[in-house]
Amino acid sequence: MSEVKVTEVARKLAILRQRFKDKAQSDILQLQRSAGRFRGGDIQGPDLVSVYQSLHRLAGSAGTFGYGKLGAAARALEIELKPLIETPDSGCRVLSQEVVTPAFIERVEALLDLLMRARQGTEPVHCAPERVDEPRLETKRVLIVDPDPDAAETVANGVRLHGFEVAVCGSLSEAVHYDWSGLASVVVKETLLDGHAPELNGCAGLTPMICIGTEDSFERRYQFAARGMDGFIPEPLSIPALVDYIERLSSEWADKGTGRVMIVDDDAELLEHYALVLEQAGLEVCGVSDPTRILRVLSGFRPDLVLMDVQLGKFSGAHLARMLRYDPEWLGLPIVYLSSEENRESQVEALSEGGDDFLTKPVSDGFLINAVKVRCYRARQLDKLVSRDSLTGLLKHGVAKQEILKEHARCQRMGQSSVVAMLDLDHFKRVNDRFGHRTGDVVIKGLSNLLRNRLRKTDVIGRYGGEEFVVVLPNCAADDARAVLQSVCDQLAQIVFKGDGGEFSVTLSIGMAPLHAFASSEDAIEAADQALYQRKQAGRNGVTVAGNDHPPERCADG
Amino acid sequence: MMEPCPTLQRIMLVEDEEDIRAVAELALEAVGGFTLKSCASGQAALDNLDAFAPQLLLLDVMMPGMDGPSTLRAIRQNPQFAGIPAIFITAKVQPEEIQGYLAQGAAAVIPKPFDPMQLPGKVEAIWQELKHSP
Repeated sequence: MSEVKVTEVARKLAILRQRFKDKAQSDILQLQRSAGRFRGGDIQGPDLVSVYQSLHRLAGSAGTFGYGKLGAAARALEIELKPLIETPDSGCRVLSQEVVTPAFIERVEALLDLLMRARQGTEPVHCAPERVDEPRLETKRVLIVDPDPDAAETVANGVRLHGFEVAVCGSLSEAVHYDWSGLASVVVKETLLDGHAPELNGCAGLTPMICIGTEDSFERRYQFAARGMDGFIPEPLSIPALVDYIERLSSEWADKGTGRVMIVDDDAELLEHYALVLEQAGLEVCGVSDPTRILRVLSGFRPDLVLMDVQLGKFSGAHLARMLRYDPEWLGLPIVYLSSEENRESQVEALSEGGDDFLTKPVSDGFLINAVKVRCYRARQLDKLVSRDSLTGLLKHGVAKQEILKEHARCQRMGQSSVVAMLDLDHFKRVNDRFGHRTGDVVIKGLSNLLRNRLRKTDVIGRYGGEEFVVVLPNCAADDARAVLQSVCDQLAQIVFKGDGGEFSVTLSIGMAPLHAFASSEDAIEAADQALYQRKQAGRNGVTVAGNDHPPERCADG
Repeated sequence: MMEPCPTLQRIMLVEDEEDIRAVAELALEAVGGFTLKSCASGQAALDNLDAFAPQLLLLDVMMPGMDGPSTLRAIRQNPQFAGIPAIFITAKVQPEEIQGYLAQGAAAVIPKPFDPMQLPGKVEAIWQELKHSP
């Protein structure tokens, strides 16, 4: 899309959003009137139906216009009301007392609040011109708990420079009032753990907790582990090390409880049961009862794991597994058979055809959940090992290149504008020579964490080589990309790294090129590389756009 | 042998809600570059079918009168469109419900609410997949 068009689309979207808001407001006022009648004990079938339809409409559309919370609330109410709508009139009276409780009515009334409180911009519809603000939506939040306000603020400022949003409080009793479930980490000063800390009961498992302490000994570490701390970092505190710790723990945690499972079973009831059990445990599930659909569902859903019955009508699970392995894309996909086959030999035979494991029916719900979660987690970690750079967790060279190729093809197909950029740390050799490779690694990690926090989830970030990185910003206008990349340069320059020989900071040079404007993704990368070279010639520390015909201001002196 | 993949141009959207129609039009025409015919009812879709000759249908499931699945059945009565692929758009996306829609002839399901900016990409991806799978 051209930039003019992007702005035009944003403008039209804003108009549609306003129109939706006006309409939703009158719908909700209507809902409130019905709720008022319900409150008076007057629960009529036709009223219920119109309330249900109204909720259904809100549930389906609010999110599209940027009112995600309103949509979710309406959806929850809709689901509760559904059985009532489907019950014949005679049963309706009794059931309605159970569903349309005062609490239910209150929630209907609260919908208006959700519509009004959604401040412009807090829940924006994803849209290219807002991209500069957009990363904030996914910004990770950290809570720092330290009785010394000055120390806490120093740490907080350091962590903020890496792109995190940081809150500070002075005691555990204050800390537990925060919503921990949305936090990337809680960082706790050791002195707060010396007493009894009853506040922490029930906090374990909500969010990763990292303890900062002066004394690094076996006894202290054990004590912190017993208190439920998930990490320990000794003082004097290195902010990049702390940030790295937070990144690692929060990404591990994000993977832990989740996973995508495809279940293949021709028994529809069993399928539904397994799906329900796993979904309630927080997994994403896609059920397939017709084995001939497997391939299509697979490429759309992209599961971490396949749970498959061994005998599916006229199909054999083992043969299906072997067939899936025809496609190199699914070579690494774990396939676990779910079967009543107890004969060890037949199990082994089935495994030899391409399956990975056996769960013998009947399985208890708890066992199924754990077995699936652990395997999903491992599959994800393995996938990361294969495709990601071990130091930074960013995409490896080859994988990143593949992603750029895909994005280039998408640009050609959809007529979108995307940007590819090459990034290179300035004078990085000097850092390594002066402070050693370990300090150099801290800088590399610092930049990669900053990139992860400043860019969108959909952006591709790869480590191209030593101190060289590549970034793709899909569906992004050149000016917006330049602004974001410049802000990354500015932020990096402000971070203070500590090495054996003292404190230092590092700057970054970036060359960027419009991916869609080139015949191949390689040409675009080459152009970005040229722009990077020009930036290095022109004094480093900043962004140069390829194809800007103005020669660099300073030439060939550095 | 693989057939060359025809480019997706003409999409017919059947959706009773005006707001969603408007935002889908914006997303698919201005952002996605497709040619869109949007219809407020199944009947309107049938009336415009021959003249517009869509390559793909986007159908809301819950509509008053003729719902998404019945609209699809009616459209496929026309021999010229007997094999036309359809995507259902719906808020009801329990796995068993998806199975139900797939059984009723949908090629894929896009859950509501959808992000308008991502809609064209999703539709294109489903189209590509349809054309490349046997």
